[in-house]
Amino acid sequence: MKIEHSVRALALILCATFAHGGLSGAFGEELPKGEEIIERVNAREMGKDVLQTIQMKLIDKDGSARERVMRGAGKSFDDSRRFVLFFLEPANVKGTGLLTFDYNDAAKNDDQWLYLPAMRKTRRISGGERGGSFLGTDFTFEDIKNQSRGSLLDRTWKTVGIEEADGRACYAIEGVPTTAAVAKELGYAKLKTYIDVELALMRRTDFWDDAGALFKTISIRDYEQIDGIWTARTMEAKNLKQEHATVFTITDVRYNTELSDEIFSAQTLERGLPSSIARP
Amino acid sequence: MPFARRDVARPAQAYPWILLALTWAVVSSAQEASPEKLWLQLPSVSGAMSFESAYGTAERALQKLRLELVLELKGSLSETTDYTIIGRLRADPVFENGHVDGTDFPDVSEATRPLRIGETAELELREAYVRSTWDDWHFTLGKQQIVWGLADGLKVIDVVNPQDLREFILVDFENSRIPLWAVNAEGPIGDWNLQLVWVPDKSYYMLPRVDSEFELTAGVPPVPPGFHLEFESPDRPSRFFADSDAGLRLSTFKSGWDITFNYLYHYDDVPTFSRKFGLTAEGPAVRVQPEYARSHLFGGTASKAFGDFTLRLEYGLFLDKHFPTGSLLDRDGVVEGTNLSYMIGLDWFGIENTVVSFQVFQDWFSNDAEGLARDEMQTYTTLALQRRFIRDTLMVESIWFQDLNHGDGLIRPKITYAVNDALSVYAGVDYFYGSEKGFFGQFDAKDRVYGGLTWRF
Repeated sequence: MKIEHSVRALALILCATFAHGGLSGAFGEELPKGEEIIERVNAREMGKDVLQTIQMKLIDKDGSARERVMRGAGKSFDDSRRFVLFFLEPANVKGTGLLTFDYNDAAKNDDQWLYLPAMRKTRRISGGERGGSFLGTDFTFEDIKNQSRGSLLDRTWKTVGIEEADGRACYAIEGVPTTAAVAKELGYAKLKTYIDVELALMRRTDFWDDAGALFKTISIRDYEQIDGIWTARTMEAKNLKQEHATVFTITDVRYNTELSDEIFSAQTLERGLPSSIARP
Repeated sequence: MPFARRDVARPAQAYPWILLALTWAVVSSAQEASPEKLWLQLPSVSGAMSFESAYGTAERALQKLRLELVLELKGSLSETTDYTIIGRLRADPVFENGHVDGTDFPDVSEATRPLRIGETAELELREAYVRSTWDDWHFTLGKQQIVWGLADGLKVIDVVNPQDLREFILVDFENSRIPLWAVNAEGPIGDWNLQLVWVPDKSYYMLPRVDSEFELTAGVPPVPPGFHLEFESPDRPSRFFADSDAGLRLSTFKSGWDITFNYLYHYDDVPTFSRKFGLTAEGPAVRVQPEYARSHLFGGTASKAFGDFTLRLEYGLFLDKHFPTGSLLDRDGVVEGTNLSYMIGLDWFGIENTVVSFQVFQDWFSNDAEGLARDEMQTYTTLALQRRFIRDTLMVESIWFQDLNHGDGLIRPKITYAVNDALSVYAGVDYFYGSEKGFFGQFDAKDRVYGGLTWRF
């Protein structure tokens, strides 16, 4: 079994090395630089706008689970990519909304707003909390913002080899925060991400803490092409220290529906999404 | 001089525009959706059942034993038109609800006031509105809450809807704000968002009655020695159009700043008590009547994030504001002036799952008349801490209000635990301290511990 696994991995790696000549070059040449691979991942077609439903499952170490359902929309603007997200279920978080402006200028902090229906007010929240838990999940705000992309901001990237992830040959790239302060803010000392050699899709990311212990993994699975755009259907974050996991299942995805700019505003957080798109 | 009888004007008994609005909504929707589609779009039902009990530690008696059911019905009439109906049933055999003299809730209009059920319960249509979208414009018609401002715990320009003060400020604004029948239109104008509001509903602050649990005593002029006090019913404005409130809010996002400019032509929801002296069979008397004064509000807000900090600013300039005076030389015990109120707030997010907020409020009144039942400048601060544990299932929070003029204050620690997605339990303390002349210190003897549970469905 172990031998079969190794042979399969080797075969995949060999195939990938030949198949992906554009970046990896001829056999025997150096692997592409980490930044180049991340740039290729980020250059992937994402659509002008997207609508999706996200089912979120939070799983405790005893196997008990809590579920949430969210409806989200995203759109590219000249200066930023903007996301608005609403909780549909359960009742205790229903109506909670989050709006994010993720600027193209990597040096510029995100702008974020949180709407809490119990206060009936939109609160400006600090974009500096990017290493903090996203609404009690195992994902951080940074994970959610980047989703299946990599950030070239305040991290250095180094390609360390070609390895298998999710049954695919992937470039293994290590990312290290540029300073101790950034590491503290992001909540990890090092990460290793696996990028599909052929498709430039992120398959998995592992995170290490200051003590060098692996403490979290994010797996991105079940990619499929929707309207010609590769779309991840499952994202799973496992916190190995806390023995807790969060699974996002993404459904009802629609791209390029000509969403109005006005949807991505603080006023929409207070009103909710237009009824035509508020539900799948 | 004996009192001359004064007939208090009554407000309109109904709001015919409500029917017009709903008719408009249904007709416009019917043009877009076939009867089959209307039938298929069943409303969603959600709600909450809660129980809360409070024990007065100084009084050594129960202050509150409240059972509450909230039901919310939401549905669509078409792809562009939704409706929301929220009802609330409350029963509390302990708390003084303010039912007096056979007149229930005289501060609010007939169309808005809750329906009293016996001495201990009330049923209220909290909200009932239709929201329709035409292009990028959104029209909300019906009973609703219109919330302005950024301040927490105290208000500056959140004055479109009045507030139920029967339990002071101990009930969160969402539940103590009095929803009003109104028309609310919002849409983009270039880089700005314009909100227009029209509020024909003549409802005002629901004040605690004399001798009730949270009767307001601070800021009320003293009754002259030898006189006894009598109250008349509130003199609520009654002209349908001429006495309605109207205003606008302009919002934008520029260079990282959220900015709004607000204007409201309104009746001040907090009454002033017009005073008359006279003789009754019981001897010399001072008779007071709650009256409402027209005011112009020019206000605004701004906020921006700076690293781990968020700065919040809010201001309101109120013209023709009225305050009571205890001076016997004043004709009616009411003086007029300009009132500037503002808040500067700073939120810190430097520790994960934790928010620390500090706010300073100042309130200035231009007329420093003799006997004025307030200081020319009043200053309050709040310090709030909130921390979430165990993946947001446990929340510990506290807010501390301090009145710098009188040295009084209120501290409100609370802990909430979500047993599961439906059930949460909580417990807390409301601790008042300081001078009885202070806004908070007047309730120094009303300290309480409380606990409750909420089941959402």
